Amino acid sequence: MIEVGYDTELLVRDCIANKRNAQETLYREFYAFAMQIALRYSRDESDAADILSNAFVKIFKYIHHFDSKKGSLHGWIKKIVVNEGLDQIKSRERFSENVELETVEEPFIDNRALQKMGVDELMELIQKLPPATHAVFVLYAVEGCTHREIAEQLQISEGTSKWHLSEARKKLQQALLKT
Amino acid sequence: MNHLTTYEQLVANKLQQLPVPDMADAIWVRIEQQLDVEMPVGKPGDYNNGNSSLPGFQFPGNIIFYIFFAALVSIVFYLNRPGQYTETSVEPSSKTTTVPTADDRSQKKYASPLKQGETIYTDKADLSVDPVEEDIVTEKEQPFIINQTVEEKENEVVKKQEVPPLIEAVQKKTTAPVQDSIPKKTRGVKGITSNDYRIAPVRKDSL
Repeated sequence: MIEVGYDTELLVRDCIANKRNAQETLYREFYAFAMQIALRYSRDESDAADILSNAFVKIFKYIHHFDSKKGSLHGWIKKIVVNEGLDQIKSRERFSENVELETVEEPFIDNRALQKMGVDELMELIQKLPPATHAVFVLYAVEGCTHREIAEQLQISEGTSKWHLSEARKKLQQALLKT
Repeated sequence: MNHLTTYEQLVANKLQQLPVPDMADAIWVRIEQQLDVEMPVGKPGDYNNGNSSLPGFQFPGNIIFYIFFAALVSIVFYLNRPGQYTETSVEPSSKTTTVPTADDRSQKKYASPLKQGETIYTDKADLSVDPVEEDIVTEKEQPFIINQTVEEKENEVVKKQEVPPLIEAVQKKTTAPVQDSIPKKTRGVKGITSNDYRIAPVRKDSL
């Protein structure tokens, strides 16, 4: 992975100049980082590949907007990949505004069972969630977003975001109990 | 701040260890194909060959050809349009003379005395200088007075055509009365006049 100060500025400059070798270098340096993010918002590897390819085309198209003074390149790329993942989810399912919750219940989940579970099995459980619920759970639990931030990002109400989180917790509890 | 449960923290930590599938090459091929469509890289020497700071700008070589062709066509059109000065060559001829007429003044034709092989620029594409025979010159086609116009318009850029001295001679000749140099041949028999053929009534003397 590219460290800060590792000719990142030169690489970005060459990408702005539309140099293919620079674009490929940037892509390969950030591939693992971006792929991990894409997998969280996808149903399978094929979906993740779609998210990643679309996200990198956008990255190269708009890389001249990147300002190193405002933030790191990692943060900028992560934001684009997450947005592309959410766009994919939105294309699969419309976020319903009919369901809202004031508070989110915290169901009991056996943490020991979760710890024993492998990453692939866990990912499989998350990917089985309905797309909207899946997106809210990942944004809340993994990205650390608040319900307000999720609501702004997905253009839904905070109550709807809470409802989706509650649904995710219930479904995961049920799935963990079965294992 | 959001309140993560213990299991959510566990999920977050586990997802950070998610193994990445080895699809880097396949995905790059797709990205490259999309980039070739949306942000094509120019040929070496082109503006967009990687040295440009303007991403996505295209300047294909065909445009240069079209611009050159359009410029060529416009130049040809400009030179051939009516009312534009065109080049007319005058063939050398010993009998060729130019006779400026009153019409020429309205056309504002500017010309200097012609010399052999000289080129003049006229404001008519099909204008040709034909030789004028002396006999054809009539009273209507009187030359205008060039000496006065030259003095009056000295500041003009284009030279006025001077009147060759031949014109005055032609004018005099056409205006002079015609006289026959050969004497008229007499008719009839010498010594007999028309009175000799007159029939007169005969008078009687004594009656």
